[in-house]
Amino acid sequence: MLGSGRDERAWVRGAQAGSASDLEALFRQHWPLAYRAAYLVLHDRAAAEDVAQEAFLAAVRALDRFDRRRPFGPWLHRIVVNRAIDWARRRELRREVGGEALAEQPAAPTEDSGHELRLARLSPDHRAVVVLRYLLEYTPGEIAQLLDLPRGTVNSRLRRALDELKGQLE
Amino acid sequence: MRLDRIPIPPGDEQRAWEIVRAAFAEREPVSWPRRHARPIAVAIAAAAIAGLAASPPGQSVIRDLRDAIGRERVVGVRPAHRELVRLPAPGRLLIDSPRGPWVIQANGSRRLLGPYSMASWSPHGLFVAAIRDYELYALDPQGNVRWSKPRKQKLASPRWSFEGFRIAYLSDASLRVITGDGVTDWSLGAADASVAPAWRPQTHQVAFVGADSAIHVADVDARRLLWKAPAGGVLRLAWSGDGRRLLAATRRQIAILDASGRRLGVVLPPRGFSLVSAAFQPGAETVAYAATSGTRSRVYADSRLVFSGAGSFAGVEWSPDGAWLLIPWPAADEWVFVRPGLPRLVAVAHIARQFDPAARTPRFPLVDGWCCPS
Repeated sequence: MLGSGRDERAWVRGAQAGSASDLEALFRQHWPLAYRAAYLVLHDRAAAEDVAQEAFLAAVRALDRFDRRRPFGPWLHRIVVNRAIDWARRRELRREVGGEALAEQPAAPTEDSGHELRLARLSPDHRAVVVLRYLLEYTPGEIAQLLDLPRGTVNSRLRRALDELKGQLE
Repeated sequence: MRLDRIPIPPGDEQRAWEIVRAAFAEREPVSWPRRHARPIAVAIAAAAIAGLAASPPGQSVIRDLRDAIGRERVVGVRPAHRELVRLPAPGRLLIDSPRGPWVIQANGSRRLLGPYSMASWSPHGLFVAAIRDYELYALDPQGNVRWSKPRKQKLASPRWSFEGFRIAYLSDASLRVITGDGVTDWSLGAADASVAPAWRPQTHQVAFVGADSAIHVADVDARRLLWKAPAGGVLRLAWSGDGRRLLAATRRQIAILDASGRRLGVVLPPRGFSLVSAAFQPGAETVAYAATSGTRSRVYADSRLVFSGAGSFAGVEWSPDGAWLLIPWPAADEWVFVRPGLPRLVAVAHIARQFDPAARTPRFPLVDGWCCPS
């Protein structure tokens, strides 16, 4: 169940005033999407759980400074995706000393696992823009703002990512 | 592909909610003036920068204003020593700073060993094993190189056996062992490179996390696996001093196994807290651990709370005599030494600056080990 913008603003206001039930409403609405977005960038369930959890903890710490006229989702997605990219980069570094061991056991194949696997072959930066554009449905301009990148960089990453995905399909 | 088709493992959301709720319960709500302090302070800061930025008093004003506009800062233990002048227990500390490992003597004197990382003590503190790029080094505590072993892959987490005749280390995706003189080197199999191996005291058996995430214990000289126990998400392995117990810490629990891999018990952190690190007390089976809720952290020894504070702790380290615990506290830029069971506490502030003095933004060092008295 998705809350309306008015519900969300009320939950943010309540949470800022100390209401745990309002915070829980925000959490229940946004955590699954945060987890799934992190999973698509990281392709690792444990890491996705950690990133989604850390993003919410960061949001709780910064809640008092949050401008409640703005939507909560993009603010949270910005934290999730940036943390997921950082995590993926750190993992790339660690992979030099044992990445095979860090990889998650493959899950049972699903209808979507082919797409997931192809996405997983992209670099973390490319995965992030694809997830934001085509799954979370942000515009390139919004992605540029979320990731603090020039819009041209977002467009070029999207183009390269799509070329790569297309190449994998061929 | 649709986002809602990506399955979420059962229990993950609830577990995350418990931690977020605990963090929320411990946060201090901010009143109106502080919530709106940022734009006000930014305006004041702009004026201050214009007039005062160049002068030393100006720098001080800007620092204070930066603090006022919400940079996260935790007030640590007060009073705290401004400088580490001595350790509260015998022994020497080995720490990993951005400039390399430092050896700190009990009297507070210190020496930078050089541009190495991931250092660890030999069993009697006579040598230090460390990594630089693709090379494993054996150093003396003055930083002189005894030998080095280059390899083609990046290396991690060297650990000495009880008498110093073997060093286990991680290379590429495998656990390797080299003799203490640096001559003979062999592989023990695939391993998780994020968890340091742990030698069983008085033996040539080593515990490590395999590529299958299970805990493996191998006889190094016979080059064979003795046993393995299923596990996942292990952060740290450590043997008790008598080699009868093996501790395997994950974020959610500390499993205590016997020397044949049988599970003897489990230590759970408080609800809403995740484990950061755990260690056996030297000469005992008491376990100390650090756990965090995200905004608050606690250290327990023998299941009793011995210290808590805001932010996260970077681990927990026993003194060699088992009397003191060192709690590195990056958020407060302090080391806190506590004596479990007694009302004794020593805090030392400005830790990052002491070990990374030239940096504009000094990084808080990691504690690699507190070793035997010299």
